[in-house]
Amino acid sequence: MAEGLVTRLMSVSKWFSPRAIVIHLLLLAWLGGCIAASIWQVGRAIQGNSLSFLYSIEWPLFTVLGILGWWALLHLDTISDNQIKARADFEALQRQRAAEERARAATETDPEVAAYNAHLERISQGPKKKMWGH
Amino acid sequence: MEKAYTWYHRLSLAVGTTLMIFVFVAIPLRYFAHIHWPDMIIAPLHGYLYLGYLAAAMNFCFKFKVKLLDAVLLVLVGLVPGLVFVMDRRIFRHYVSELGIQ
Repeated sequence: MAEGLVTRLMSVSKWFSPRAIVIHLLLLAWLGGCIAASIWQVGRAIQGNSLSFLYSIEWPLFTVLGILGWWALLHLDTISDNQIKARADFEALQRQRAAEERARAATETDPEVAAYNAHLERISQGPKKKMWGH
Repeated sequence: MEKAYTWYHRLSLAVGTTLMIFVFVAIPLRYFAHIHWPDMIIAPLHGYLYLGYLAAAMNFCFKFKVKLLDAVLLVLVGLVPGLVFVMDRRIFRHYVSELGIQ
């Protein structure tokens, strides 16, 4: 019966799923690091290190951010079926294009020229895409 | 959606650049030439930019439903010189470009 309860908690609750436990452990590691660093920097700031004064504000902020991230990760929905399908379709399309390009290049006498021509053709057909400075 | 990526992208560039300056300019100056002032400026600047970067990366993760492993990598790459730029590229390819955001 106890085993059944554990399995139910593991599968049902968002707090005890394997993913959630990884998130709890990450939070513990994060808190440990941030709190230790906060105490260290506050100590150095008290001794008169002006740079540590800035850091003794920064490390507690990191700690708070970690707690916010932990909370949000626990309450975040997983990837939807539509998103999985969109990604699979996109990857299939990319693979198909690459295969077509390879097949084309193999039939040409000069593969370098052929590959360049295929590339030019592909970018002339595709939509113009703005890529945030890339 | 778009804004979440734009903010993450800008801050990742800022964090990446300041970390490169810190590691490859400020630290050599400090230890080989004993010039301390660049280090005193760039180190806290990188720290606070990293704080902003974390907030932007977290926001991006939740808007784009990023996988847990990628979310952890996003946090860690801010601390290794150069890796932020690689991760930004990977994130764009895996989560942004396929959604058709122009």
